[in-house]
Amino acid sequence: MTPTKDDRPAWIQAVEGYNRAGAVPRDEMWRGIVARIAAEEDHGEGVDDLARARARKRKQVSASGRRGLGLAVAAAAALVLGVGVGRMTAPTDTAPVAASTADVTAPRSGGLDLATREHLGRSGSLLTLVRADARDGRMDPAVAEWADGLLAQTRLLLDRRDGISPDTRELLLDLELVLAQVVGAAGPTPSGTEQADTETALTLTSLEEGRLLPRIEAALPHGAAGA
Amino acid sequence: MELVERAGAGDQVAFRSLYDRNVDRIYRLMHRMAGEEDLAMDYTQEAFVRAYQRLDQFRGDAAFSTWLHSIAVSVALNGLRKVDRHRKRERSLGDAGPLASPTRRPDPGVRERLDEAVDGLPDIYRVVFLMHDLEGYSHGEIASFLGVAEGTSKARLSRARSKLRDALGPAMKEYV
Repeated sequence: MTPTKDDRPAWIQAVEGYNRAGAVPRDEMWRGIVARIAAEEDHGEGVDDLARARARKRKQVSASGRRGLGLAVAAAAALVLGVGVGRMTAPTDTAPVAASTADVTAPRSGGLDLATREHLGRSGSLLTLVRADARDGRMDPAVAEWADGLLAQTRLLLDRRDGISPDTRELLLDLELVLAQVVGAAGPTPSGTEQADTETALTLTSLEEGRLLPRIEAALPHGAAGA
Repeated sequence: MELVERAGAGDQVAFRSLYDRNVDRIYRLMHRMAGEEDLAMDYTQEAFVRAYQRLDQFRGDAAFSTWLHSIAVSVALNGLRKVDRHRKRERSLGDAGPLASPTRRPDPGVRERLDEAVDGLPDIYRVVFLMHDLEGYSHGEIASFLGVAEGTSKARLSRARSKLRDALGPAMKEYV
């Protein structure tokens, strides 16, 4: 590609370092691209997750006044696309795990099978902790791995073609988004930074505005949720 | 072309794949042109956003990479004009007061003089020089990106080199 290194005059080789780039910040730029696309209100036939990102953005803009909202919207948009891509590109060899966990003959409660009930119960426990921490403006890094595992399980449940009602699917989709936010907020970003504060605030916003914990509680038999 | 069609139809994985295949070259070129990481990132992102929004206009007459590069170069040139105007305003404000230093700057080394000389090239020469001599693009590619004839690209490179040699003056002796 670089042509003619030997052909170039020596003085040109001496300027080789002019404005030379370092490492390419691929993921950072990708997040920015997704956020910009999602922020365009009038883009054409958007892909599903970008359309969802746009809907999320409008929802969050309605809760104006929160600190760092602009950044939060961008982060949410990037996150939603990441969620979509993550599900599409998730290894499929783990799918049987969910299938085996989901006992289709198990007694149902509120239209949920055993695997989904257990999953929602564990998620409720995690989100209760997260909500308490987030209200104090912090996020325990220890929950990142826990949330990541639940996120993978949520995606597996969403990939099932049967046994999930539209309401449950909607609940799982919202859960997926919040879990992804928890993973991001509790992840490697140093706590106390503006970005970490914003991610924590965004997580709490999604959790509370989406009334996720009450919906999980309502979907489960009494006392099954951790909330 | 298949990836482009899939991306245009809303396939996010396809669009990410197009991004992964092209982003390194685009970013490196943007960095050469802008000289700052923030600007390079901004122009790179803007190029991909515009490309995404215009995927339905891509007809496949040229390679996707060529089409994307032409968008990116246009974004960078327009962006740098704005930045340049802003910097000139800042400089004029800075030079207006009595703070202008009466002392002469030390004579910069040859490398610095080279860098300054490249900075001082008009855009139409500078971009060809950067693409060809530093990033290794062929004249055919450059001509496609800029929408000019291949001979024009060659002429601009020759002119750019000539201006740089002139700017270096006696320091050129170190390289001959």
